Amino acid sequence: MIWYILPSIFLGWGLGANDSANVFGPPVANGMIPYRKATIVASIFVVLGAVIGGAAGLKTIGSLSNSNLMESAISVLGGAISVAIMTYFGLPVSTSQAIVGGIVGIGLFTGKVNWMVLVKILICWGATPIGALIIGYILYKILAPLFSKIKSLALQNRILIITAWIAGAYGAYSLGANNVANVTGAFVGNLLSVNSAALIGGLAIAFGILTYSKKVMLTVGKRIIALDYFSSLISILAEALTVWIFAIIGVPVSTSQAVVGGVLGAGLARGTNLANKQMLLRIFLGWVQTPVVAGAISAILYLIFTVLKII
Amino acid sequence: MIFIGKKEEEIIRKFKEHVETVGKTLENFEDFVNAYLDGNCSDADRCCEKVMMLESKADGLRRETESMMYAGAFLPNFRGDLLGLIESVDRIADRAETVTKIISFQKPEIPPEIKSGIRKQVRLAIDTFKELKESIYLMFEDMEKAKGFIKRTEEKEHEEDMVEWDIMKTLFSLEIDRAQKLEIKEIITLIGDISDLAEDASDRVEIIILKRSV
Repeated sequence: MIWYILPSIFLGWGLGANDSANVFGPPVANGMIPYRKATIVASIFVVLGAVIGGAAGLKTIGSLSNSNLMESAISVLGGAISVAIMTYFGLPVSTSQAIVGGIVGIGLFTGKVNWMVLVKILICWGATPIGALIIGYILYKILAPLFSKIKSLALQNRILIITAWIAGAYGAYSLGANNVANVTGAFVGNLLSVNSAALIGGLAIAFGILTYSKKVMLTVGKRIIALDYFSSLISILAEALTVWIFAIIGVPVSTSQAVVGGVLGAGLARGTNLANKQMLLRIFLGWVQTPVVAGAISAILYLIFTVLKII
Repeated sequence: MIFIGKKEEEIIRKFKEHVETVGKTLENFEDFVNAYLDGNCSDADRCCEKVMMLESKADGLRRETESMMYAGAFLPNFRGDLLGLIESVDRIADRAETVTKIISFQKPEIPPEIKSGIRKQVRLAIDTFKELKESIYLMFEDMEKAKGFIKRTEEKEHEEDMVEWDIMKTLFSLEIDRAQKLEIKEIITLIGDISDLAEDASDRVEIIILKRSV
């Protein structure tokens, strides 16, 4: 059994290492929060999110295709390999989009794709950055007047630090609840129960956060802190809220695209248009390129395994 | 305030202590200038020593505050801003000490026609600093109110500029040796720097507050 879920653990590790940057990146990069403490809190809340709120997403990914155990393992492996390759080449990549691409890639051969579920997923992908933008805009408009009522600079400092912890912990919870489905969702129904899939997936993501997240956290964080402290926290909150909503709906989405939406929303509320062609192109490529690459790799793996009569 | 950490509270306390010490340096500087202009050498010497002692105390407080800040209090960007501000305030005491030393060493002969102008100039430099001091204190407590004192610092600095200009005009209209004129001109310019430096520091306070506007 362990051999089947090894690709999942690898994918979860990569997801934790990459995506925790979207929740604790800015406060860690600007020194508001120490890296080690951030990773410990993020790990705890990722596991909590996966176990408490991950069920809906796990069921969605589990129902995307009626794959057997080996097909699921190949889908996850294809997704994991595509994430590794695209990360290596610095291309925009999302594990949510990779894993769906991997499952559909094989599903096209086996004819087991549940198209209705796929359409629901695609709609949610499109809604992610737009939703985060709207939430970021609204949050800023509501919270900025309240924040500006705090006249004491020392008190403002304190509140920003406390908010950074709350937003980060909530973001980590949402990440676990939403993205755990990418890690172990493909095995729900054919190898794992929803609860065990949530626990194994959550722990794999936490392992990635604890062991290999520093570099990405600092890189991504520095990009977001081009905004002021307050706006960068608003964008994290917007991302966390958006990803959490999709966790309830039960569709894994890209936290990176959500955070971009959050940044744009907070920027617009401040009166700055931070969108540029390159940013929009990266989002579009994320939607198209990642699932296509993952689908192709999974399909090739599936064909190789079929020819070698492993399946 | 209950929400402020102990480290932050301690830094604010030290920061204020530093500002107070710079203020005392300036008050003693004023006493020194007045004693010198009155020809009271023993008082002037005593005040000169006090100015130097207080300036050195301010330096020590600045260093202590800086090390405390880098031990992790406040937000990192704000630490940099606060560091810039404390150094900027410290330069005011440095300048007062420089003028005190120049007058004590060179013992320039000040023409009676400009003595009252110099007294007024020194007073205005101290007034400028007092407005700055209020803006700094209020920056921690109430940023909105601090803005008013930033504006008042600018106004006082402008007033001091006008007085400085008048002294210069009177000085260069006097029938005295050119070297003496240049020697006194340097002193007047350096006294004027005290107000300029206070205004520079208030600009920093303004930037800190602007950075926080959402």
